[in-house]
Amino acid sequence: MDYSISHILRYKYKNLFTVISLTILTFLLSSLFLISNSIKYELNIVLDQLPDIIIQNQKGGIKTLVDESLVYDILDINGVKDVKSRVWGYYDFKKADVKFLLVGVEEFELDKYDVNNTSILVGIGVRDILKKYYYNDYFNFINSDGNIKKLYIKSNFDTVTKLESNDIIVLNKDTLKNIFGFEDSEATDIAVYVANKSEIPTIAYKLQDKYQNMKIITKEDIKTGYAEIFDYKSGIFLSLFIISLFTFFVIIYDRMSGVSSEQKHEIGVLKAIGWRVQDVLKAKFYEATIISLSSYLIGIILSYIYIYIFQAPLLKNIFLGSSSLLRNVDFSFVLNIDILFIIFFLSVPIYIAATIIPSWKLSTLDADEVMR
Amino acid sequence: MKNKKSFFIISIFFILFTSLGTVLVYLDITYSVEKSDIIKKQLFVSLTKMPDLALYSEDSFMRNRSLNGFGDIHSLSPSLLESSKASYAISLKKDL
Repeated sequence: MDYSISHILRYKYKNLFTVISLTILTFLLSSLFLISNSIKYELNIVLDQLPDIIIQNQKGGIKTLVDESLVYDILDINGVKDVKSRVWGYYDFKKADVKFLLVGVEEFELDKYDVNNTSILVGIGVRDILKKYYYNDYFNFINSDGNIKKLYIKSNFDTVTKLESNDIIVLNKDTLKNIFGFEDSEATDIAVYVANKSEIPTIAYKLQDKYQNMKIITKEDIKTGYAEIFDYKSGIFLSLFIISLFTFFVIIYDRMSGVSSEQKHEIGVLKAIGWRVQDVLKAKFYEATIISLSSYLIGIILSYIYIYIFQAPLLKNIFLGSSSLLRNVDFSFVLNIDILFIIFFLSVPIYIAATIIPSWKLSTLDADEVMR
Repeated sequence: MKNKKSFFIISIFFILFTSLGTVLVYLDITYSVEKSDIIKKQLFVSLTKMPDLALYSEDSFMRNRSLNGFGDIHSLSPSLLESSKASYAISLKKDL
């Protein structure tokens, strides 16, 4: 061990460069995994609350509003527990160049928040944007017929729901219909709840058969879609990153293979004074482990601090949109030991192998042959 | 001291492992989602019945899954096709 440490210190600048490079690579890789993991965790904890099936109307493949009377027809289907019409849509706040997601809910659901048909509940992101434009107590919506509808801001949602509610305004359903110019019988889509979750595919097929022009989406579709998209987004970044990682290890291997005459001489001297092949390899192993393990630990620590304390500036834009409303979401900490192991096995053993293999080649030769 | 350098390296690693442990404990205490927070999130999603995560509005289907266009299944993922049989096969194989 002492020899390995002395060897590291003898070539300190070269080894320092290697440590810094490996730390940066570990940092990027772990940051990517940690962000993706946090988002998936957030999605997973609320997925059960979503409707089991969503039905959306289409005309000529283009999405359109649905008739609320469909609710009663769907309730007649065996296995359906509850059906609710959803009224929601995007409101374009042109001044700030953002779109608010307006969600209308029934009056009785808003009672506990003390919200009536002249008030709204807003997400944190919405509140910040409105305050920026001096809408502290109320906001003026412009109706579809051009009239102004003044609604008072009752309160904002808790910061813990930021990832879910950041761009949302919740208000009375009828008020929302008035703003968007919906008819009384119109809704954006219909949410279906099924009593027995294993019957969801059957009921989805029944609905599709009954309403050929409707788009039927199940909760499983939403779950799979999100998973695929996150894997796709992180996969693009990861595939580019793996190329960098691979290139790094090829450089290390190449560097170790083309060792300088000084290092060859050193191994030759060690062999001459009685070191066996195992001893040389052990020394190299310690050296590689010290460098790679310290890089791994520093990279992991830095990535945890970067993601959860500084909230991953720059890197989170891979997953988030460019809308200013969506920039201000925070990642929740989730400890996933699997990720630590994955990153460990992607960095440390590969570096150790890239270092030991060329040294093994040299150490198997005779001392005089190495020193020649 | 005979093994001064070894002791030095072991101390360095001890400090690094302790730092990692400290950072993880601190983050768990400060930034993890508590049970009461989970309930609040679930109540919110129950109220709005909306697909969650205000993350990526440029791909509109990410914010509201029902908004994905027909072309998205070819450009992004065939699992975006609604009631895709692949959804159930994939869900059986892996958890999110």
